[in-house]
Amino acid sequence: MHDTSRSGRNGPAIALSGVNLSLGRGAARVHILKDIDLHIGQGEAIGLVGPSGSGKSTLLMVTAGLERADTGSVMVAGEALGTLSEDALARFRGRNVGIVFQSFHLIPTMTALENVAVPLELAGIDAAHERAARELAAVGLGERNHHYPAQLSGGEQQRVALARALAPNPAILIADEPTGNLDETTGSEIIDLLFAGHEQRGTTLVLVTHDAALAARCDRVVRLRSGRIEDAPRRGAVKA
Amino acid sequence: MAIALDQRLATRNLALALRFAARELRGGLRGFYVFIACIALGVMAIAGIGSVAAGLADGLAREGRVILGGDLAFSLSLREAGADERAFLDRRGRVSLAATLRAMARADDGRTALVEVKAVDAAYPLYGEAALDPPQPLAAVLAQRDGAFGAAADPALLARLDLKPGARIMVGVAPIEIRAALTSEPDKLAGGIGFGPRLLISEAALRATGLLQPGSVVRWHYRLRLPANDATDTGCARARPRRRRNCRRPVGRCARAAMRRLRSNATSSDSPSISPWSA
Repeated sequence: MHDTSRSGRNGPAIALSGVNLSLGRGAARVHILKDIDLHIGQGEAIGLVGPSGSGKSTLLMVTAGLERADTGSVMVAGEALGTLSEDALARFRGRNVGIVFQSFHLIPTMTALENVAVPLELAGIDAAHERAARELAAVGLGERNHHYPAQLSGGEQQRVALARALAPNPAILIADEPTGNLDETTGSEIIDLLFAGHEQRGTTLVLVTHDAALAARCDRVVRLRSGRIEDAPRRGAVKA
Repeated sequence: MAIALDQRLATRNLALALRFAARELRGGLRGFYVFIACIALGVMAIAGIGSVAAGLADGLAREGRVILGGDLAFSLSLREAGADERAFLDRRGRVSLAATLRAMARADDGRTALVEVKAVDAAYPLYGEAALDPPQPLAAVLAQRDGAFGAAADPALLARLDLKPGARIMVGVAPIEIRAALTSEPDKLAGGIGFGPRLLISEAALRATGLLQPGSVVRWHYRLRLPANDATDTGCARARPRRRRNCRRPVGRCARAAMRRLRSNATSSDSPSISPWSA
């Protein structure tokens, strides 16, 4: 067991204790997460690094409540995810978790504005479109509200995805290699926006990346290898 | 209070679902067009088949008598109707006889051709009309004249044997003079598939050919034209022999019932049978 707890600003936003997760069936079943203990403070930015197949994305899925741990406890924003039903988990994610994916996952039949408004409408927030327009303006896409994803560049699509993730003001912002499909310049702009959103809103950020320089911008780096947390170097101590 | 809140939530969720559905439909119209096209194609196919079937049924109902050659048709293989059987039919209406068989026609130059011979009596056809070229009465064409019976032949036979009206051929031992081309035969459909061109001759000519021998594969068709006021289902049922084999009846005034019976009887009549009638 690795105790990688670091005190956050106001107590842990994410607390994983003794988490194990296996996926697949029969002979194909693979033990992916092994005895994960990880505490992340509120407003903290965590860089999650590790080689492919080390379990980074699976750890994000568990943290976001998209996968259930086989054993151990998962506390996120004060909720024990293991006790929530699927519907309750969905509501929890809508309120507390914003996710930015590598491949954007925008809804192709909706405009940028409508994509950003989706979580707000689902949460029953009034004036969802006005708020979505403000979020788009915040990521520099105020003039592209009515463009469809196919009419936007990759960087613009990722900005829309970021605006969508931030629109409900989630407690946790999860970004799974958000610059993986972008060139360096565009990726850098997205990361700037990501960190700006994190700092301005006090959102807890969990960032999966292969980029050591990017991980170094986080408050803390957690390294995964073969499903286990190796160490937790502080800012500036990450090797490529 | 709680109920009102639930209703507001339900209304809001429904509106949200409809809004999302509308957005999804907006982007998916292209795929939706394919779906609509498939539905339209399916409906067109079904409607087309229905129209063709209805047209066929209507055509048969309208032209059934002409196609079959009578209100009722009876057929026998290998033998003619007996006197009592013929009397049974004669009591019920006007009867026309048509005997069909395959034979070889020989031209003067020695060329031969397989022909579908149809030998008819003076009452033929009970319904419809045989179209001849040049136009002339059928009886005059088939009559015996100058030592030969007349015939109307399918234009294909004329072309095959290089014959012209006035030419003579031999069928069996009888000389037959071709006097007209048979361009249309009213009851041709009822005859089924033919293996050669039609040669229409008289019943007397058939008997003169010497082809009517024991074992000759001849089908004897007796077509019955019922009195005008008796061509109903009831009238047809009265005229029908007790055994249904070899009995065909096309159309009475109740076309639907008649069509059902036609299909049923046509099936049974397609099976060659030598079973006798019972009157």
